[in-house]
Amino acid sequence: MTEETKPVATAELIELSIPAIPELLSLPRLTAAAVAAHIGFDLEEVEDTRLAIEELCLAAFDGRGPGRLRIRLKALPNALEVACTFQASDGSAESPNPRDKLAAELTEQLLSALVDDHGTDVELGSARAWFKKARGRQDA
Amino acid sequence: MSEDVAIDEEDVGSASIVTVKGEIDVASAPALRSKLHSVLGDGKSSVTVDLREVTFLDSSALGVLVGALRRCRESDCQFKLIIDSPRLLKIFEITGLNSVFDIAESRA
Repeated sequence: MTEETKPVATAELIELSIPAIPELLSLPRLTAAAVAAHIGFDLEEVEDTRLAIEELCLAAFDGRGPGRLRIRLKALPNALEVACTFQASDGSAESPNPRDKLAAELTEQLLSALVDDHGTDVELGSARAWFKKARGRQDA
Repeated sequence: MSEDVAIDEEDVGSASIVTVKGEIDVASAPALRSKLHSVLGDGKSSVTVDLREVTFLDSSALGVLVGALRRCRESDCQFKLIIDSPRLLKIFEITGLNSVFDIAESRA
């Protein structure tokens, strides 16, 4: 018997903590895609979410390091909230080698089109980027 | 090189076709940059990047392609992308790069 995917009734929290290295960013992508499918996002929305979390992690990481990326996915009945926080090993969130301006602009354009709301906060020792994406939104 | 991407080059006279398969992300984009840098350094008159078997592409990959396009234009070289996936085309449309690149659905 095939059971139709149903939206989750209550908020579920999934947390991931990984070393901030490019080779491991496929892990948040896989996780976000699974969670998005779990809460009933359609295929297009799942793919949008996969790209959005990649861009989110790039925005938080932004050439900083060494450190860890802590990714928090909150599955709501009709939406997904994601936050990615870079925590520097040496306590400094300053980026010695930030991405070029073009890459940062492309990230901003992609996030603006793929999710409903997003933002970035940089504080001493950490940088946090977040987004919220609802089911059934019309892409820009 | 990342295990998630394969990059091959095929030369036909002064033209070069670079075929990419798999995921181009922040981990694998440097390999693509290196390959395109090498191809463009050979003085080709035409460079085509076939992305039809690419399953994921992020801003890092777009940045590499824009860099290659700029370099190609500086040397009066033609730079073309082959894309047939609506998913990838959507990414180029979101960023406005569909009007910057010469994009075709096939090599023909």
